[in-house]
Amino acid sequence: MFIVFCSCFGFAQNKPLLYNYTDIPQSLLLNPGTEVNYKWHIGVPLLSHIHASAGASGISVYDLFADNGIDFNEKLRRAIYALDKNDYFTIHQQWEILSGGFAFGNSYEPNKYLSFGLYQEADIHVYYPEDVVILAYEGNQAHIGRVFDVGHLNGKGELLTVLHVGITTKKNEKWSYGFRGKLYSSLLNFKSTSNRGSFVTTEGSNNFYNHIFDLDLALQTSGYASLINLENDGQSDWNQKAIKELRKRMLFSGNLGLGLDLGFTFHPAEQWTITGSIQDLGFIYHSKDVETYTIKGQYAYEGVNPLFPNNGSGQTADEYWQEITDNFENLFEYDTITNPYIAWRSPKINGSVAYQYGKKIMEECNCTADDGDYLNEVGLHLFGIGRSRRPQFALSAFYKKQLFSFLSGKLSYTVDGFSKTNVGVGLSAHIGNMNLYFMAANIFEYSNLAKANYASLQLGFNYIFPIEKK
Amino acid sequence: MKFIKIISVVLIVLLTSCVKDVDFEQAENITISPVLEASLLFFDFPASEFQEPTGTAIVTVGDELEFDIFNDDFLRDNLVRTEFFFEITNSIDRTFRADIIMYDENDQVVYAFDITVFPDGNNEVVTTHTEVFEDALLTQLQQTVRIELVLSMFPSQTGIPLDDNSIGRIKMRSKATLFFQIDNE
Repeated sequence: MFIVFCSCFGFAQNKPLLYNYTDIPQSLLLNPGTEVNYKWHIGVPLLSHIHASAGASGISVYDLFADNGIDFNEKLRRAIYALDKNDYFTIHQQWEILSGGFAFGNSYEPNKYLSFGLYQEADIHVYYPEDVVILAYEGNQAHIGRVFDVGHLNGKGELLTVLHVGITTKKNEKWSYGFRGKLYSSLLNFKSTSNRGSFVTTEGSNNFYNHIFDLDLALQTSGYASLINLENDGQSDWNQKAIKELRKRMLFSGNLGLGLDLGFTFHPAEQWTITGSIQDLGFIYHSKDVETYTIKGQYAYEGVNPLFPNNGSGQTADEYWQEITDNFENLFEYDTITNPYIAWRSPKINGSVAYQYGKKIMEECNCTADDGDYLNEVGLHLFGIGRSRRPQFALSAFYKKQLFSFLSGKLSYTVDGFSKTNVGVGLSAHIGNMNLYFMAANIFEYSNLAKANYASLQLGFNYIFPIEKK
Repeated sequence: MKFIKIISVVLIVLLTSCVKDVDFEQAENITISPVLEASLLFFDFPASEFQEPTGTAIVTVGDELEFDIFNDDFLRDNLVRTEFFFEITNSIDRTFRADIIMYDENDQVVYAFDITVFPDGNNEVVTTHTEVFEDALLTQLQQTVRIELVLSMFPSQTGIPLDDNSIGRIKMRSKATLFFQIDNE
């Protein structure tokens, strides 16, 4: 039941709208080599970047919960067979707590920009455990001889804060590059990504069936055991206590890690822009409040044999049966170990190529200003994220336009594992020194979000001090 | 300006968007019906196992085991039908009877059934038997904590006893089929 519910919501981390949206300081978080055209900025605390997205490949909420007269169990059956082991559910959320930045370097024309901040991030990514679901849903009777692969159980989740500082350098008119160092502090982590083993029922040699179990499963957790134990002192509400406990871990929780982002912007010609970045090359070392649960062993069961102690085995059926139940208990009883472990972050890559055109026509002379900015930009953006089984990619085409001097907009069309009809829209306004932006993916599905395989929203407020035009 | 119009329309749609035509409560009707099969008892004995000097007595062998797996909350709530299937292959020139007796925790017999196996000389005779547990009978099965199997061999009409050189074997294979109905009740 829980799995079914979870499956309706998933997330991805692709932000084709924000990527290289140079008016918005948070684009530096996607590529520290993004060009900066302001002197300094400060994010409105807690409001500078809010991002939430959810996605499920192969299924939508509507597929399962449509109020359309079809029996729920029929919809469930269709969903179970429509998905396979490479389908996934993902939830991603980011919330910037503090952020800011300033230009420095050459005093006439500062060519470096230092940006920093603290944000909180949650990411859950779970594959659909096809074989385990089919076994639970149908049983083994219709699948004699089928090897059920328990390695289909594959998922991880993390809740962490990221303290970061980055430097963007404009080398010349053509090249900019940047780096960002990150200190991760984990609030919660679970990881079960290297399960192996199988269950199979085959024709037996002495009895109808031989049931063969071969299991090697592990679930690594950190920050979890102490939360569960909170329950026991029974004074105040568990939820409150858990939130309080998690808040304590916001900085320097003890389970810390390091990461690096790097990226560049390059103009091979005046109107052309090529960019690339890698985010979150890093890991977290989990050593505190760590519990790993493992199930490991092999066992083959063919039935209970030696009825009759006088047949020479010297073993009664009861002893034989006890041995079988002991073996089963040993097999399925999990071990708890507290060894530290390393959890790699899911690294992300971004790349884009874009062409700018169309300068503003001045009303006075019906001509374009030489030093004016181009008003339109079209391009392609590629996003990739490393996941436990294989990387996932998304390709977007985008069009950006300066609508008014204070307002720009961006449209994107994205093809990825969730859908092939994802159109997104973003707006960024500069009112005085305030910048506010709003972005949503998969807008055509917003009339009924339940039918969407993927939904994503971002918004934020910044205070930006621009570079005066000479 | 077309762009602005599109964006305004989009924004209106966004702001009025919602999740429509879905009913999450229908999930309460969830029912899944897996069917599990598992091996049960088996044996394979040669004729010499049943020697007895007179040739006129009933030879009885038997054993029992603690068998309380049906006495389990999950099975009590979700199991709707169970079948035991037995297949006995006999090539010993004798009639056999297998008695299966189920006891509850007070050592009272909850249920018993038997399977009679007739011979055809030393030719293999395959006898099958299906025992179905449903409703009240299933409840009885769920009270079972101990199961006893008694195999009796009846003497031949000629009265000649079996010895080390007697030919034939008696083999049994068996399995259980468990029909679940797992729902929200």
